[in-house]
Amino acid sequence: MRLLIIEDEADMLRRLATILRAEGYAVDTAEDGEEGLYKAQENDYDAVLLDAMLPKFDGWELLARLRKTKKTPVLMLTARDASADRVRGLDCGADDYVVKPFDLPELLARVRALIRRGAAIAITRMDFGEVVLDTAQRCVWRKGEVVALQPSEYALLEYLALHRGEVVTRTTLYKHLFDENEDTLSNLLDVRVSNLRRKLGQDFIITRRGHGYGIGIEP
Amino acid sequence: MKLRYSIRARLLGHIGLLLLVVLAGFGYVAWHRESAARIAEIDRELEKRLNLLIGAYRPEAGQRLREVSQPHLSPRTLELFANEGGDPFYYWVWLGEGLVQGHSNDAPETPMPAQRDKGRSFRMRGDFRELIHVAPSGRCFLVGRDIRSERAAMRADAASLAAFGLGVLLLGLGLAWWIASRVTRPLAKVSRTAKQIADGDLSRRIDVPKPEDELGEVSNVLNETFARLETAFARQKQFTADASHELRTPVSLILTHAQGALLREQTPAEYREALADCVRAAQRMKTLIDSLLDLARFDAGVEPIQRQPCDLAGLARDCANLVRPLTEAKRLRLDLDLRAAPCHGDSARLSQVITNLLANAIHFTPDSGTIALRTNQDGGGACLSVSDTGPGIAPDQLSRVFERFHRADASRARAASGGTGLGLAICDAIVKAHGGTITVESEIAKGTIFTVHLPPATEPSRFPRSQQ
Repeated sequence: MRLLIIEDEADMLRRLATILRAEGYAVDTAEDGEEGLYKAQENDYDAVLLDAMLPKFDGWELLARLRKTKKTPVLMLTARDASADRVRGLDCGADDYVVKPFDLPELLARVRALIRRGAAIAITRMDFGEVVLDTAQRCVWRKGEVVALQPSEYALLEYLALHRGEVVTRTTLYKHLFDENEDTLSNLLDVRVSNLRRKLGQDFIITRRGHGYGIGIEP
Repeated sequence: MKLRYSIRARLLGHIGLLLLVVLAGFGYVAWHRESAARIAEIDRELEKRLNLLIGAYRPEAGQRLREVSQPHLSPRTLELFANEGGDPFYYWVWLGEGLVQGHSNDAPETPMPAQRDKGRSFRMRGDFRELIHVAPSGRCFLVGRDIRSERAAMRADAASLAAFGLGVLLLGLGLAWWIASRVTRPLAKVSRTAKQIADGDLSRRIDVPKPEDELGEVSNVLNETFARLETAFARQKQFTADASHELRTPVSLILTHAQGALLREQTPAEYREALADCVRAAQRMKTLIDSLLDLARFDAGVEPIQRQPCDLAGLARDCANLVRPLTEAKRLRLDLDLRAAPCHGDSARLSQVITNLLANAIHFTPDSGTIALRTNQDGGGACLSVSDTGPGIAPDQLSRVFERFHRADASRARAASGGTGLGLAICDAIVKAHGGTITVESEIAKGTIFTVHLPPATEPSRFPRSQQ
């Protein structure tokens, strides 16, 4: 999953990016409204964390402009907690509104919920026969035993699982699993796929030659 | 209600007393004159009769005094002393030794007057008014009158006067009550409104139909006070809201740093980094809180300003040296034109102002710009200016730069001074505490110049209790 954080407080931006990357997300960052809007329009993020008070133009303005072209889930993060501000944020097109100071585990859960909503999946637990995946707990079981996955491996698995029955192109995977800082010519993706196959079974992820990967598709 | 009654009651008491004194005075005078007239009338009658009596008892030629046993009383004279008609006059005549020479019919028992000065004198004896004449021979004539009925008449007079007076008094009191009510009613109304305002809605004001009279004056003063209270409360509310808002940011940082570190197992280096981040955020909070407390102290008027002779030029030079690393980092040119500017003030606080202004200038001026720092004397006082070649401040923002938490743009400014948004507000407070002024001029895309004027040193002035 690839996220965009738009926040002008450099410390907060850095910390959130670190935390979310540790959770397995690919994270892009922006420090003002202009940069944030550009990136949000250029790329397909799975969710955007948006601060209300930004230089150049504020979060509400950004939202209004973004919503003209994109339906990306947006979570507004702000120190302004008056009811009027919340209403304005939600009405402008935000999907969720979190007030600072926030509880970090809660924020992470809301991000997960946003992504789920974006992928139109209501349930968190997915059953693939031998393999069971719980997106809330971010856990994978094989034949009832917990499988230890790196966050990046889990991210890939989750994405494919949320798009089960579809072939997901390598390009798409790169777009959603790596941030702008990554070198897309690397074979990190292949490495991750082979790791997953090793841990979850060779047939779990199917390769469709020339197209991409998928779960639950015909080889 | 209570108010009306107590003022009315007092008014009534005073008016009642006044009326009472006046009426009693007049009444007494009137009654006394009437009584005196009555007595005078009686006395005239007594005189008349005495003369006749003396005439009647004059001895004939050759007759001795004591031999006048048959007074020559004419019928008319007799009439004057006849008792049948109810005529209350009577007479007695005594010879010098005390022998009674004669008296009128049914005259009341009268002892011979003890006082025997020659001549005439009136006296009251119980219910009798008597005129006594002591002749040179020692003979004593006494003419008297029973004045019981006169006395009764005078008492009746007094009674009716008193009754009349009481009536007037009561009428007067009633009128006074009505007048007092008319006066106290607007007073009570003002009092009621003021209480309502004080209890609840400070935005209301008292109606002042007549600003010229005393009540109007009081009402105006009250309205002014309410306006000042309203402003003070609004400012306080705004300040509290702003302050708590500002504190959310560093608190949020600490929370996120710490919770992030606790989410999963970290390397010691990662823990250290998170802790260092927490410390930095906490220090930001500390700076903010210190600034807030500073301002609060200035607001309350308890911040002491040590007044000592100092020179703005010296202070400016020190501050310039302090910020030199910052100017060098941005390759800014720092022009110094520091002429002697002696003043009377708190050098630490004034340095705080200069450093603040410099830090702002450095922060907002793009690389390779110029900052000019000037000090000079100014008509007995001192002045200092800091100018930059930064982007300038929009005209509509210019009047608001000294407001608390006001920032050039709505987002959080990452100023070198910590970005509290209070820097200029504190400068303003410090300068005002010195009795000086701080002003700003700016032109978009050209630059900004802040100017501080400090007044000439006078005797130490009291720290102003309230900021306008």
